[in-house]
Amino acid sequence: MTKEEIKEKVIEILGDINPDIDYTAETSLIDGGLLDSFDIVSLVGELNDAFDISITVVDLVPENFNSADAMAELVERLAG
Amino acid sequence: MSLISLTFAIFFAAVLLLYYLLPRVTQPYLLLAASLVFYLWSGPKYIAYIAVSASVTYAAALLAGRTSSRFAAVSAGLKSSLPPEEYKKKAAAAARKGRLIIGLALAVDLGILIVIKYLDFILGNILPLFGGAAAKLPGLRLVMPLGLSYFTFGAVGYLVDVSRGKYPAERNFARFALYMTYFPHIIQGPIPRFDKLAPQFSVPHSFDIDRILDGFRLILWGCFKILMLSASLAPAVRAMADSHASMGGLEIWLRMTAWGLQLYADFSGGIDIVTGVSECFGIRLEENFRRPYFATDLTDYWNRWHISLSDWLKDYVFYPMALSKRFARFSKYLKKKHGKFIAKTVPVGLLSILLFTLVGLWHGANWGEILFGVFNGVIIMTSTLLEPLFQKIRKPLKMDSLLIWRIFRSLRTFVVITLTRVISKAPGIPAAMSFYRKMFTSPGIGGFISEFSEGGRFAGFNILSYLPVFIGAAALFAVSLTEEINPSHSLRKLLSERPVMRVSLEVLCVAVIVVFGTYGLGYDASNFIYAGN
Repeated sequence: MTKEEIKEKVIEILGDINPDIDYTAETSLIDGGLLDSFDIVSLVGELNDAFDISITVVDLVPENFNSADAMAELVERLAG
Repeated sequence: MSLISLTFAIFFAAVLLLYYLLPRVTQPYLLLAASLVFYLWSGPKYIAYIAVSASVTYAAALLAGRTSSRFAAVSAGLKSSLPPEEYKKKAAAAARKGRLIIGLALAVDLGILIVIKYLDFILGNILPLFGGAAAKLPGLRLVMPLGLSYFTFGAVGYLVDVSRGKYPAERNFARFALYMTYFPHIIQGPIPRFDKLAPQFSVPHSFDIDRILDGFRLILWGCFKILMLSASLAPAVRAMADSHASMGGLEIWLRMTAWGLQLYADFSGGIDIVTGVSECFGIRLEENFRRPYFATDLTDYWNRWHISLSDWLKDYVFYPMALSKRFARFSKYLKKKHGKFIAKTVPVGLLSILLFTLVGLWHGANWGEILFGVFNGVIIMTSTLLEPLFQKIRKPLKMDSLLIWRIFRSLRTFVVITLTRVISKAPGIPAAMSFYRKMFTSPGIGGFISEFSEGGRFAGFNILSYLPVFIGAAALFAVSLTEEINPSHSLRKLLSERPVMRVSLEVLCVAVIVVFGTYGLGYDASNFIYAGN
């Protein structure tokens, strides 16, 4: 899977969680309070299942979840 | 030592003077010495608890860190010389040893907290079950040392972070001891985070008059909140314990609203003072309040109230449990049986109830506080479950963009949090139940008004005696509203561009406190509503 493909899939998953956000442009999903802790938990579950990875508490820092790009990078790193 | 007192003012002035007069290399040591003096002042014998907690936590983190780093140092060699299976076993054994050391230290830290804060409550509920002599055993009645919950949570967070590899264990004991005892946060928080606070201790701080003045402004604002609001409202709130039987519904609503205002003014005012004090040393404390009464729902409220507690519980309880394998299995099971929505909301909802039970327990070891937490958890879980339904109603009406809807949501949140507080504030569970009944069924407006006539409980009541409250509440509301409307431009920044206005406001603030403030009550640190945790 290329990074672009990963990002597309990540955006698709995010769209399921909250369809009202423009994930291609948003860069402060966590710092701006757009995703709450309930969203994060279901997002992590979906990402783990979709990419067969294991996101742990240590990865739960805003830098990894502030944008779809950052999430795609995290997925790439954990899958690699 | 009381925060709003001459003793504290002299203590703070002396420390501040020495801080910038002595060579900068001595700054952290001076702060440690000052923190120890402050702590000893609160009760010399209680220092043993924090000393044990600090020493055990420091040593365990270092030991666990060494175990894993020693393994890492030899592991390169081991990896090439051992068969993969053997290597894996050795790696697992090293990790186990590290975890065991951390686990033992956590047991000591939490053990101290549980024994002092909760054992009497636990025994008080268990022993009566055995009947006879056991039921009559007196409790331990241990006195809480200053900042017990704060330094314990600080220690636990540090141990977990080190074991997660977030940062290495601290080698310098003085620096670690300062993290644990730092006098501005030991009274009522915010709950410290090692990676945010400790690096600031290592940096030399030069004399920065602007920063120090900002610190003093924050101290002044904190004093304003406490002396104008908290202290002036105290008698009206205290009356709830003494004359609750004769109170009608309307009176309970009024007194509970007063309690909500007093609690916020007292807690956030105290935080403003300690944040200002710390700012004078060039050390930033974490934000603990973000205009909680402007919250749009209960979840939003808890993201704005005592933020350091909510964040701590999220990082060290909620996420570790929510991301565990067992939790994922439970979610998958629900997804298969009941669909995506239930799988997404029910497990985290249940976790929220647990989390808020802990919030209740944090506030005190009694059923009122525990139920307060449970209520909050249940309401949050229910509103999450019903959110899709609410959205279906709101969207076609475009309600989310309406100002009146925004105002209504904040008022509704205040009413909800006030209702949950009744259970913890009423003198006992039966009294709380009677409060709820009266609040909804017997407003007692007529009775309430008649109490103001001759012979009534409020005969001779003078509304002017509450003038400080009205002035204080109006000022607090104006400041909060300005910041809420424009959160990226803090009031501090706005006023810094208007120096004349700022000085006028500062002078006015001091004058108002001097004329209207309720002071001279001897504000002891232990008098703070949130202290003693």
